[in-house]
Amino acid sequence: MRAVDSGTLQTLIVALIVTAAALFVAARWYRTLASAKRKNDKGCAGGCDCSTDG
Amino acid sequence: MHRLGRSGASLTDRIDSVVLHRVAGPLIFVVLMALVFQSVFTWAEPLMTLVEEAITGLADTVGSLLPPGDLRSLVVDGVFAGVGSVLVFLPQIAILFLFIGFLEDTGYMARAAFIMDRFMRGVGLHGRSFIPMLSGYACAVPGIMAARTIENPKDRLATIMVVPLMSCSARIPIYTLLIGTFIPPIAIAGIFNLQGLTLLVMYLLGTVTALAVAAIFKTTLLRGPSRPMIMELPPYRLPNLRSLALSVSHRAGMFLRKAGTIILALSILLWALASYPKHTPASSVPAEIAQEEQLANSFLGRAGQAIEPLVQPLGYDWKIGVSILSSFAAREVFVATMGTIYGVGEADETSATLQDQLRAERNPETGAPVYTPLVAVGLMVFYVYAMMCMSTNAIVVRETGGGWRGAKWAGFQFAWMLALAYGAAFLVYRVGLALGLGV
Repeated sequence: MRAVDSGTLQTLIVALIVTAAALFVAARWYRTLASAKRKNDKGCAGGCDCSTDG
Repeated sequence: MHRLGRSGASLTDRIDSVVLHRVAGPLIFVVLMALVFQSVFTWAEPLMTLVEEAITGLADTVGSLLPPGDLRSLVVDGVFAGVGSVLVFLPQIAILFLFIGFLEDTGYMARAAFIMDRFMRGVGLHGRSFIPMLSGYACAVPGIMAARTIENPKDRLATIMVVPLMSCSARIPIYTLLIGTFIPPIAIAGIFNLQGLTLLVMYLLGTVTALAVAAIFKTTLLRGPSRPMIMELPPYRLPNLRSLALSVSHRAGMFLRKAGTIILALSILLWALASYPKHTPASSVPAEIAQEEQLANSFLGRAGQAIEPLVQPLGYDWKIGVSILSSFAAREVFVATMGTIYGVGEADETSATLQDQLRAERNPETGAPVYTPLVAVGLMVFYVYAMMCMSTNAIVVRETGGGWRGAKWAGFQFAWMLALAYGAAFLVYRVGLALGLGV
């Protein structure tokens, strides 16, 4: 197996971290937009915590 | 006001005769709030320095363990500079909510509701609108949800339309960054200082505008009679330390959770946008200029320069413009973006604080400071009015009927708030310049 140099490894790790962050943000926004589509038919009994929506 | 129970004046009655007085009541309320906001600055300063030192120390240690390259830049300039610049405001948020919790526990907040009810009825809002508006000081999302208790759809809609004007906790990092950096701590009337009063003015500006806009809605689009509020005023009591601690830790926990999730993820993305594509400078260019060129040629820099003509009339450069653009997701991201931009744009590895970097920033063409107190005040006014929160947009869609109908109301709210923010920031900057305050 060929050894991977430090620069390539760093680039790979950075690419992974940035992709994970992009997916996280996309999932959050999808969830926020999906919740907007729902009609106002539920109460606030579960708590109204805005910090989870981003 | 009706008194229940035994006759004769109790201690609560005697305090209420002063605190709820027609003239003295609102004055006491404003003075109390001024003292609270002032404490946010004076009490938080040493704690803020501690958090700042801990974050820069950690950033330097982690940075020294990693080899030079993109990964180190991501960790130091992206994660630590971005999330760290938001985290340093944790003491301010904790202290503000400690005081608000204290006032709630003593029973004073119910009196504040009573005092405000008079103003709310004056603009045609339902008395019950006070609770959503009060919740809006913490976060507009529970505030808008709390409007469900208002039965009349027009009153409810008018309340939802103005709740986001109440300065929520997400604005605190922006206000305190700009006030702490550009407003001097000058003593006023012996007990107040200019920094605390500036913060109070920002909160009052949002509240007064909310009442004025509600009055416009209630006499035009959402016309209808106002209804009185019936509420019971609890007796005054000593605050419960346990419930105070719980309330502060809940707010601090929410702030930390947001910083550790969405703001962290957005900081990483912003770092990537500020670091790529890679620009190769000429060999003779000094490191500092090379870093600036890299930033200006990055995706973020290009986007910033594309929107610069839009923000230039407000006195902003492309760095502020792109920070505003990124904060459409959530307001705190403004501070995180500034942290990342100045982190990436920094040539050396020392971690100067964001405040020092903002003070030192110069226009490359004129050599004049980019950030003046006038620009800072204009920027704060922009954030008082602008609807920069995806969660609030989403909840407005849902709470105004959902689907296309809700989207129309949310779009309308977003548009008028943005127009108001832009117009007010423009006015502040231009009038300030005309008065010779632009230095």
